[in-house]
Amino acid sequence: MDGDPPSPEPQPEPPPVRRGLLREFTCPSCGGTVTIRAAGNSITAVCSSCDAIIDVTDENFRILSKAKMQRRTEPLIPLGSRGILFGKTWEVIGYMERSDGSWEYLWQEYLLFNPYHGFRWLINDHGHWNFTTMIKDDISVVLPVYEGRTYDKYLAGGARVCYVLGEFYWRVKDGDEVSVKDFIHPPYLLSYEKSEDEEIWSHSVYMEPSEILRAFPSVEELPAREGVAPNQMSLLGKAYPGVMRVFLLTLAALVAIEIVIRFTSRNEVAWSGTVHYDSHEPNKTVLTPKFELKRYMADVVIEMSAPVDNSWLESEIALVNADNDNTVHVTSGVEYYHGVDGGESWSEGSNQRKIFLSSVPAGNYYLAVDTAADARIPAADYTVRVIRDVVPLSNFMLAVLAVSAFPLITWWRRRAFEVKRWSNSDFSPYANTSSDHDD
Amino acid sequence: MSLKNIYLFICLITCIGLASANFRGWVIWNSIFPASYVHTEPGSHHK
Repeated sequence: MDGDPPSPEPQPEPPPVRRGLLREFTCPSCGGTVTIRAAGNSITAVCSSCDAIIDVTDENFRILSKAKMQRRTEPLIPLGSRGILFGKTWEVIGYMERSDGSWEYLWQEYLLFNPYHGFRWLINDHGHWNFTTMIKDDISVVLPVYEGRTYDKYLAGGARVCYVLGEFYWRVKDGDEVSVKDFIHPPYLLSYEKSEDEEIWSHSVYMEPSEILRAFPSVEELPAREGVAPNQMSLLGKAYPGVMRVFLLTLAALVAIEIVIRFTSRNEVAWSGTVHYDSHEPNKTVLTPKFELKRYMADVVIEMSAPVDNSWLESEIALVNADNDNTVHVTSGVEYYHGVDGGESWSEGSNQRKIFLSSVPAGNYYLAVDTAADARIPAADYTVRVIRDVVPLSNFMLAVLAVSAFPLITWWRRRAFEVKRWSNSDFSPYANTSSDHDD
Repeated sequence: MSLKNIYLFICLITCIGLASANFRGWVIWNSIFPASYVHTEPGSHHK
């Protein structure tokens, strides 16, 4: 991290920062010591002994509230802790627990102070952390745009103060309620809070728990994250645009390679001829004249075409290297059936067949062909062709498949993450989808 | 190494693989799914 996250200077609500000094006074309620860390900036402070909320701007330290608040959780980052976030040192001076009003869903907010840079918030929502800055910009609640980014509406609800500790730059009190609207553009979040007196926009950036632990070394561990936060970035979500760019470039490269190879391949007929089959000579092997397969190494296609009609014909073809007798045996059959069934015509099979032989070395070759056929074929002449250096489309298709797998998986995982992200929103674009996947 | 770079590496290998397979007349499908109707014998005689 370097520099502040993209956020303007604070803040509509916090007062102009005065270089405060540490200050202590006696709680007028219980006599305990209350420490002020942002003297001159804080308006209220909470006595850690009796929970009385005190007006520190009043020279007699007037008590604003003496109600005993119910603390739900201990602050994970103790008041007075200092940590470096976005290259600046921040001191935790306030702690607030808020709920959505149901008292069931709680989150914790830490008020940070730096005498030169003012106030920020560190918000922990079920293990997900956000670094938050108040902003002054005039933003539309209908379609918020901030720093060139358009935000999607995620939540509309309320927030209520359940517990406060430390000091604050406004007159905080237990039970304060505001209406809230959250808008997201991961890893950023815009919050709009409206109370009877004011409207406040704040801008948050998602932080990994490891960043919080690095910033505050006194904190040993943080609770595990629950679910997916509104503005959490998935690992695959970050990589997805780059992966898609690479995919499209690779697809173009594969097409280019295929075109070049097809233009330069020989596609040469090395031998073509007719083979005679006679059922009276069932074990006769037909030997073809020798022919040459050129080029050091290339594939060979053996193509067979026979006049079958509701019948079959099968050949045992041996491609024999006349120089060293290395042989490739191929069993190639053709069958073609057709007819009419229930007024519908049908057909099956074909009277042609192609077989690719991989990486056949150059040399002089001949074919040795044994034929068998349907009893309805007493004799037949059929064509055999040997074609050298044919580019198989299957190679290209397999290459496309190979490079497509990763983007497809990335897309699917990213979508599952997004479905989970939006599962807590009333404005989900995946309203009819559910997923148990996490990222 | 980022996911994107790992994928970039896979893509480069695939491009080189396609070019070289076609240049050498290697039908990749035949290697993945060897056909029962094709087999090779060194030095057999059909004469």
